[in-house]
Amino acid sequence: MFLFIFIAVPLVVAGFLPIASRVSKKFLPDFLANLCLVILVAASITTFKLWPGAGSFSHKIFWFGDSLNISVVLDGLSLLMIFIISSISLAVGLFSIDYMDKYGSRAIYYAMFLVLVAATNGIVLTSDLFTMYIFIEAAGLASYGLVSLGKTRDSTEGAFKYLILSAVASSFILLGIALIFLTTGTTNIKEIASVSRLVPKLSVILFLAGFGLKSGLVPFHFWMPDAYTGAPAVLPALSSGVFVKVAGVYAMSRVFFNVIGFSYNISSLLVYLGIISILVGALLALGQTRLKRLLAYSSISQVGYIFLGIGTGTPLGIIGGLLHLFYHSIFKSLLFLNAGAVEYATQTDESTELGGLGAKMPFTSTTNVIGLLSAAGVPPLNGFWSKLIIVIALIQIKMYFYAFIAIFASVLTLWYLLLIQRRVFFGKLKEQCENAGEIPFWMNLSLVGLALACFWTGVVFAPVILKWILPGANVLVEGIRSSINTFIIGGS
Amino acid sequence: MEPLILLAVMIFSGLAIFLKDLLKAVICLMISSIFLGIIFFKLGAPYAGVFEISVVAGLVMVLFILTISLVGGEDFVKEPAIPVIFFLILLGIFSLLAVFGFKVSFIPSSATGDKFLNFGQVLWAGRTFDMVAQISVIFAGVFVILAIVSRKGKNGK
Amino acid sequence: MYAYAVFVLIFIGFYCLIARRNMVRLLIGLEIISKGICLLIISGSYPSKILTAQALVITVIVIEVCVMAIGLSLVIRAYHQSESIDIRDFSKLKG
Repeated sequence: MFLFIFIAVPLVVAGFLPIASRVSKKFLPDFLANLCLVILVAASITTFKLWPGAGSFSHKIFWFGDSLNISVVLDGLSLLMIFIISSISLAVGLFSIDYMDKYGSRAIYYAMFLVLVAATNGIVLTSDLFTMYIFIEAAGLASYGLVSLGKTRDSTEGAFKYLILSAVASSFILLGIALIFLTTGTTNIKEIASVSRLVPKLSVILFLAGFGLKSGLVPFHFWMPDAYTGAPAVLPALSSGVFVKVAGVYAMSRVFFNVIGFSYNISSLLVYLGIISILVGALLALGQTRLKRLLAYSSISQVGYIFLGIGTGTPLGIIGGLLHLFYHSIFKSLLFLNAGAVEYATQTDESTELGGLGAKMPFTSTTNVIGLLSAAGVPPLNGFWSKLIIVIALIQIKMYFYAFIAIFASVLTLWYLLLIQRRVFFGKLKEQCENAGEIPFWMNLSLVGLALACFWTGVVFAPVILKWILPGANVLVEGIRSSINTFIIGGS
Repeated sequence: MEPLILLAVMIFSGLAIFLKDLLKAVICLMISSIFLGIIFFKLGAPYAGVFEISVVAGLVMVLFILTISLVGGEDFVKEPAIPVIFFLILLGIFSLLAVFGFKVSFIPSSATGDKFLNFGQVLWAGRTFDMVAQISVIFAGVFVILAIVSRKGKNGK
Repeated sequence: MYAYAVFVLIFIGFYCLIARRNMVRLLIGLEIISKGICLLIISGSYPSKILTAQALVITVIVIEVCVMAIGLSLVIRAYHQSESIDIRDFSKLKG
């Protein structure tokens, strides 16, 4: 019963929010939504303590005495994802207490936000492929709404393009699921895994295209810059920090490792696409001047790292990939929320019009430096460890050239982010920024909290790996082991 | 009988993308939905058939017609002048590839026995989580539409 | 035979998405793709798994209705803001 609150509580609160906004326009929606997010974070930490260390929980739900046939499943990978979703959502929720002042109705914004959180929780907590598809769609719908909140022409354009491309991705995924259903007769993950040799090869290609589109893997990355530029800064933080990870990386790993069975071809495809994403994202980011667009290309590049790590298929590579997933959520959300803070203070996004903000906004520029150094992989911040593990894993399987490209792209990341930092925060004070003041308390709190998290997870990375990442990696490695048994030894 | 109805579905869908008038295109789509619903009936899926006809050929078409009346019925957009012949050639190539290229055999080896007897039980007892997930989809849809059509803008009150 | 019809429907849907510029037509293309997938699910699972297949198809139709509704309201707002529903006009964000 306990696990179901991750899905039920945000939905119920989202349902009450329009009513609550009749009572008080500003305070009550803020309070209710953030309270709900705090409850979710507490629940995820409690789940963590209750978890026996291996294996999977499965709960049946009881409704007034009758037992409904809903089974909510939690294993090591889902645990990591739930924690990431809850904590990043809390940070963004606190940030939006002040940031959404300029965007109109708060209750509707929080309602969409909570539906997004509930749907992404649903994606990781289910053991049925088709239910996962429905939750992916629901989360996608909520994020189309969040993109279009800006009400300018840019946001409508971004939202419509995002809708069309994401709907195409969903139809690919649905085609793959339909083919699996028709050839194996079921959509339950465990049952498909036991007959996984019947799954057609076409499904693999369709899933790669569909989940790749959802996560911004090259060559499916072109929706990301447009969708992120026209949206309020909370959307890219949520989307790239939470939704891309869950609906893209988590879903793809779950399907490829536990359902279809990992093979050499899939591994090499993921590694190639990962390397190309890293390079394309980094190179295209070099010429950008608009803050959010540059960070969107940087996201494409970092997602390439995650796929590179997971695609190697070695235990160390999977640990590196999952660690980078965790750390990237933290520092990329920090960077996007930072860009949002700059936009809040100066009403513009274009870095050529900004300058000299460092003196006027000390907290913002410090957290920006921390986020930048994490993204580039500078010790002892968190990005360094995850990239190091991925590079070591690549060297371990003798892909020296790829390791070199990964390090080179890290240097490129440092370059373009530092360029922006210098232009926006140091230098002469431009006239647009005359009356920029320090940002309000809640936005500050959330930025400082994320920056501290970057520090802390960087310094104590070893316990983080052992307690949080290793169970998740074990789940994926189990999948590889069982598929090797099935294919090579011929039994199961 | 079935091949003819299938042919009708395909022809009306093809017409829906080529007619210049948006309203006529949407009506072609509606007719194609009705034929698809009839095919579902014949294949032994009456619930899916009735859902297809009443929801797609009803609700979605009403939404389309509402939008077209607000936006302009004539296709003011100047479409690229690619002739229909090009499309038919592409269709021919693709269907040759499809017929000879992909061989997927549908052998539903059901790993679970069918423990439900009728459709009601399958829907409510077998796929209950899907029903809960649909609640989240509907919530998302409602809130997003409320957000899009509200008139308060940026910096507005 | 049904497989052929499914392929043709999906091809028509994708062609519409690629080769047409009117926003409403793009949504018509999405609808045709969904029709193809529904036909695939139901025709492939005849006669043994038809009950489960119907449940899946009903859910897919519900999701498609929500996506269409959101898409159409975006089209209306785009028309409000700039009097044009041509997708090529919306390339201000390139670069």
